[in-house]
Amino acid sequence: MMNAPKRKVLVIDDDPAILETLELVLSQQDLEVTKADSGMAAVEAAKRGSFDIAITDFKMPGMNGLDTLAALKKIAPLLPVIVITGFATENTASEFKRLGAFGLIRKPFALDDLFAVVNKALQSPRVAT
Amino acid sequence: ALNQVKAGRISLIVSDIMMPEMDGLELVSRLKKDRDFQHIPIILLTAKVSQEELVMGLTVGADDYLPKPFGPAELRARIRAALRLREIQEQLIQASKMAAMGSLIAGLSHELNNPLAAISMNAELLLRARKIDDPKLIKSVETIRIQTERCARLVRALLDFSLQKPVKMELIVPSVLLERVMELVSPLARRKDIEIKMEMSAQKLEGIILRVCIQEIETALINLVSNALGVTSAGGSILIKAEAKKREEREGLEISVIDTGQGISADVLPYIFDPFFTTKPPGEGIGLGLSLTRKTVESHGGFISVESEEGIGTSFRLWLPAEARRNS
Repeated sequence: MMNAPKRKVLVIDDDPAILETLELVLSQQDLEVTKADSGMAAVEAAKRGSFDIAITDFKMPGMNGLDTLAALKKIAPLLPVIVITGFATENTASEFKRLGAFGLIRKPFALDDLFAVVNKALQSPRVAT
Repeated sequence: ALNQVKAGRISLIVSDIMMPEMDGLELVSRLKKDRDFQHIPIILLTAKVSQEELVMGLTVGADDYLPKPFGPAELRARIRAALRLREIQEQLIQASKMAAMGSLIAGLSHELNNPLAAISMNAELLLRARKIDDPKLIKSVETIRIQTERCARLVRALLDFSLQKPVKMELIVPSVLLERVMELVSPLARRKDIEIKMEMSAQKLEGIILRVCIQEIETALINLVSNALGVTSAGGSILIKAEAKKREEREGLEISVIDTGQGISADVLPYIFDPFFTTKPPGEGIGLGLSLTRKTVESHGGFISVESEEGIGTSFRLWLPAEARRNS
């Protein structure tokens, strides 16, 4: 276990306070964190390297969480993407599901809720590509 | 006249044009330029064939005119029409204020979410690090976390308030609706040792069917009942009454929630449906319950009213239109 490679997570949020905190929180969970401050930056990162999981904010200027989710799924169809949102109407929630979001977390959240979804995503069976 | 308007609350002015010193036109133009009084409807009394006076009057801002001679019935009708118009204007102003407040609240809650999420995550991180050994410091970080959660709950309530949620309308008979509400409020009533009496005659409600968003109406009723439970002391009781009632020629259902609490004082009563108005101590309510209740009832085409007497109790009456009433 000690020598197992760290699982890689791509975190996308335009707010540096959230981005840096998520980096702090997730790196303490022994994950390797890559930060992206926009949907565009996330797409670039996903093209360069592979990730085990992505966590994206919903409300962002330019590409929002939905756009980012769709773009990431095009690059890596099996990548579990978790969307963090300040609000979720039933419409947006079903739209996220339709586009293949792994899970939806409502902001603000308890760390345990975040970890529960993250761990579930990391354990989800993924077909080898 | 000007002095009287400035001295007190006047809801309508009927003024002659021909007057010594300051004539009617002068009075109208002065009042309509004053932000404090420009909303008061003014009806000008014009001389018989004075087209010029009439045009002048309306130009300087009069709301209506009445050519002399006129009968009392006509005057009364004009006054009623002007007041009706004024009332609709006020409702429109109120509605646009509410809409502006809604978008302000939605925007503000979104903006608050990020800093709140950052604060709560960092506080939790500190608590989990287990490197703080001073119990006082641990308590201090714990307080940050708990209070952040409190803010988060507030923000969620605000967001729910400002969001237009799509509603699912379903048919339900009154007895089923009330039984569901009873089921949901009974545990709280038992805990507080308060009896909830239900008064509804199956016969009188025969044929009444409601088409409502069940969840919303349930929440509205629970709001009323839990408010009633809140003001009733242990050993007391509250009464829920349901009866078929026509309103403006429409069949409907009236549900009353009657408590024997301390009542609501007359100076507070006009404000209880206003958003963010609360008499509860800080942390126990943010004053959205009754406001949401009214919003729900009105969006269903219904009405809600309240009567209260200090020391005697309060009764809320909620009326909803019925889908259909079959004559059996």
